[in-house]
Amino acid sequence: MKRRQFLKYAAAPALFAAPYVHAQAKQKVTYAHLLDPCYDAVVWAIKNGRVKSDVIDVETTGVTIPTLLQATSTKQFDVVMTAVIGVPAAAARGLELRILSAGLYSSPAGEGGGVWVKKGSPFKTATDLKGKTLASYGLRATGYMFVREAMAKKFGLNMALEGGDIRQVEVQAPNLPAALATGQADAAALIHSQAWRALQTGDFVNICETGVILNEIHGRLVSAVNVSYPEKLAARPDAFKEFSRMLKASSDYALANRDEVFGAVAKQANIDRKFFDWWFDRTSTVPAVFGDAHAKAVTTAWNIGLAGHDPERPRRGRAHLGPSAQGVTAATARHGAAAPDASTRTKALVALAFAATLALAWSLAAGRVPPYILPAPADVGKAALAFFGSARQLAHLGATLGHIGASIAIAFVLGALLALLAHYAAWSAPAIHRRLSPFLNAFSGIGWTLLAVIWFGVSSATVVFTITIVLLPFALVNLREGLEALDRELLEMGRSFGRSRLRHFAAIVVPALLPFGAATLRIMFGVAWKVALTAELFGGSRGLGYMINIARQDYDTATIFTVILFIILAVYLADRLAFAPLERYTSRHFGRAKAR
Amino acid sequence: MNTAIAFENVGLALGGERIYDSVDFTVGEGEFVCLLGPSGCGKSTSLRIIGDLLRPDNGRVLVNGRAPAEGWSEIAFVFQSPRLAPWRNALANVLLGVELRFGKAAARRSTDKARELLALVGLLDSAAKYPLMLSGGERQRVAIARALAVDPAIILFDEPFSALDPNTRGRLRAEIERIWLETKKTILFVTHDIDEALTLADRIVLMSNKPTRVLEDIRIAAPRPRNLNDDHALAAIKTRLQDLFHSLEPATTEDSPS
Ligand SMILES: Nc1ncnc2c1ncn2[C@@H]1O[C@H](COP(=O)(O)OP(=O)(O)O)[C@@H](O)[C@H]1O
Ligand SMILES: [Mg+2]
Repeated sequence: MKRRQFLKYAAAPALFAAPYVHAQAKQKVTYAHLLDPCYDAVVWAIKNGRVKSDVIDVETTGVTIPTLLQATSTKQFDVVMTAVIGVPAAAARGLELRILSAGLYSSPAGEGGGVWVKKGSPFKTATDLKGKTLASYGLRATGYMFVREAMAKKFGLNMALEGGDIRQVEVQAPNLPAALATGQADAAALIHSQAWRALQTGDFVNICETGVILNEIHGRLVSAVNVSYPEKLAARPDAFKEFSRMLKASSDYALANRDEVFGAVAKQANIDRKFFDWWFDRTSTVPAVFGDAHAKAVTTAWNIGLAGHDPERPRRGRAHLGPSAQGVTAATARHGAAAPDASTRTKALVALAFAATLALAWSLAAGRVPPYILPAPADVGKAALAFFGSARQLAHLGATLGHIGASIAIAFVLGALLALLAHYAAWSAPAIHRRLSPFLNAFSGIGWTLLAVIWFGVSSATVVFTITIVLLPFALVNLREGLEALDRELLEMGRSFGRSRLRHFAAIVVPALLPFGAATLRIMFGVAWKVALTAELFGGSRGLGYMINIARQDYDTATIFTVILFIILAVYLADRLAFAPLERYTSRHFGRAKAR
Repeated sequence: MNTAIAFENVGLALGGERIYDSVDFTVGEGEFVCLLGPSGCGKSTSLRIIGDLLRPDNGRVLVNGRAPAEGWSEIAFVFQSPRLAPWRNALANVLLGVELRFGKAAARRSTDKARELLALVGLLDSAAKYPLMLSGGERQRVAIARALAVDPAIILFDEPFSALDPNTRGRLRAEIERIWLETKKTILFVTHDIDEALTLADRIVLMSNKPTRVLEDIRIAAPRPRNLNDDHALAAIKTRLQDLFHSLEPATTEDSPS
C-alpha cells in the first residue's frame, strides 16, 4: 500500500456522511488526550457543559504520552490522541486506526519545541551535546522524533537512539525538569506547559528551537492525531461524528472565551494564564478537523519517520518466513514449557504434549487476531532470528546480563555482610531482620525504580540499584537461615581448637554456608530477571526492558514475545544446567550430613 | 607429680539453676583421670570450663598453673560425636585442628604427621575418605587423630565411645590406653560407664547430683591391661561405685545428654 492511499484509507471523515439520528439513551464516547493543561483547556467546554450534545456524553481523560501510545493498542478508549508516527507502525502489526482529526498542529511561530539545558550550562548549541545525555518524555513520541529530525538536519548530528552522537533516555514527563536540575540529564526535550514553566522561571535555556527549524525545513507539522478504530466507527458512526463536532466546538470555545476557559484551567493547574495564550498562539493549534493541509503534514511526518534515524524502525507489511524459523520457535516453546524435574519418559512425554498443544493453540489463536495482539509463531521466529543476528539487540541482552550479574554480586555481598553483622553483633539483629528486611521486602520493584530514577537518572545505576535492593532481602533471609542452621557442635569444636575468628570463619563458617549461598544465588537469579525487565523499562537506557519499551511503542509484539521466550529459556537453562547442579553439589559436599 | 588441671571450690549457675555447689579435684601431669557421674551433673560443663569455652562463677580453675583463657592452647577435645567437617576428607579433618590453632601454613607442614596419626589410629588407608563413607568408630578415630595432631599436653574426652557398639567401644578403649602409654599425655576422660572408668583410669573422680560436689576420689592401682572379671580389688570398687551410682541415678544410666 502506498502512503497516499494508506492515508486516504486511514482518514475517516468520509464515514460521517451517514444521517444524523437521535438516540434514545445518550451513548458514551470516551476520549484519552495528552495530559497537559493546554489540552485541559481544549476539552474544558465539553467537561463543563459549555459544549453539549443530545446524543452522546463525552468522558475525557488526560494521560501521559507513553500511556497514550499503549492505550491506542488496548482500545480501552473510543477515541485516543496518538502519535502520528504510530499509525503506520500500528497498521504494520495489524492494528487498524482511523484518523478522526488532527490533534496538534504546529503553529507558524514554531515556539515551544526544543532542547533545554540548565541555565549557565556549558552546552550552548545542539552540537555541544555530543556524547551527553538528552532526556525525552517518550523516545518514540512523534514530537520527540521531530526534535531529533531538527537536530539531525540542522546540525548534522547522528540522532539514532542507539549508537548516535547523543545518549538519549526516556524520563517520565513530570520528572524532566528535575532530571535537568539535578544534572542527571545534560539536556531535555520539554514541551507544552513544561517548556512554558522553563521559560518563565529562567532556570532553563532553549538551545535548539526545533519547531522553528522544522517550520523552515518541512513547513508546519502534525504531531498528534485523534484516532479511533474501524469496528468502533462502523458500530456508531453518528456518535463519532458528534464527538468530532464537539471537540472542534470545545476548542473553538476555548479560543473565543479565553478569560473564562484559560482562567479556570490556569487556576486548576496552578499555571500562569498567559501560558494558554502563548501555547495556542505561538506553539500549537488544535485543528480538531482533518483537512488537506493536515493530511499533507501527516504525510511529511511519516516520511520523516520513514527516512528515520533508526535502522531498526519497523518496515511495514507482514513478514513471510521459511519453515526453519518456525522450527526454532517450536523448539523454544518446547524447552520453555518442559517440567523442571521431568525425569521419567512419561513426564517428558506429557511435557512435550503440553508444549505442542500450547504451540498449536498459539498458532490457531494467532491466525484469528492481528499480530500486535498475538504474533504468529513464524513472526516471533523471525523476530528471534533478527534478535540473535543483530549486534544491537545482542548488546541489549549483554546489558541486561550485566545489570543482573552486577546486582546479584552486590546484593549477595551486601546481604552476606548484613546477615553476618546481625549474627555476630546481636545488638544489630533486630534492626536488620525486623526492620530493614521487611522494609525492603514491602516496597515493590517498580517503586524502587521510580525512586532510583529520581536519584540516579535513567541509567544502568538505576537498574542495578533497583534489582539489588529487591534481591537484598532474599540474600539476607537465606544467609540468615544458613547462619542459624550452622552446626553448633561443629562451631564449638572449632572454638576448642583455636580462637582466631578469621580462621574459624574461613575453615568452618564459609564452607558450611556454601549450600545456602548456592541456594541464594539460584533464587536471586530467577528474581533478578523479573525485576530487571521492569527496572529497565522504566529506568534504563539499555537492556531487554528498554527494548521492550521501544517495541511496545512500535506495537511490535513479536519482539516482546521473543524477549519473553528468550528469558524463559535462559532462566530455565541456567537453572537446570548451572544453579541446580551447583546447589546439589554444595549441599551434598558441604551440607550438614549425618556424619559428624 | 605436677598438677595439670585443678578445680578449686568451683561454683556455677546456668540459666538460673545451680549446677555446681563447690567442686574440687585435680588431674596430675601424665595422669589418666576418669570423671564419672550421673547424667546432667555437669561433666561436659567441667570440660568446657577447662577449655575456656565457659567461665565459672566462683572458685578457680588452673590449666598447667594458668587460667583457662591462657592455658586453652595446651588442650585438645574429643567430643561424644566426632564433629567432623563433612566437606573434608579424613586427612583434611585431622589437619583442621592444626589449621584452626596454628594456621594454614602449619597445617600444610603437618601433612606427614597427620598421616602418621591416621596410621596410629589404623586409618591410613582411609585418609581420602569423607566422613560420610566412614563408620562411627572410624569417625571417632579421626577425631582422636585430630586432637593428637595439635600435640596437646592435655586431651579432654567427653564420653567419646558412648554412641558406639560394644565391640568398637572395647577396641577403641584399648587403643586410647595404648596411645596414652605411648604419648604420656594428660587425659581427663568423662564417662558414665563404670566399667570404662575402671578399665582406663589411674583415678576416678565421682560427681554427685546437682548441685554438684565431688563424692569420691578413688585411686585405681591395678596393673594394665586390666581384666575386670579377674581382679578382686577392681570388683570391689565396681560394686561400691554401682551402689553409689544407683542412689544418684534412680532411673536408667544408659544414656545422658552430651
Ligand atoms: N548453656 C546452658 N544453659 C543452661 N543450662 C545448661 C547449659 N548447658 C548445660 N546446662 C545444664 O547444666 C547441667 C550440666 O550439663 P552437662 O555438663 O552437659 O551434663 P553432663 O554431666 O551430662 O555432661 C545440665 O543440667 C544442663 O541442663
Ligand atoms: Mg555430657
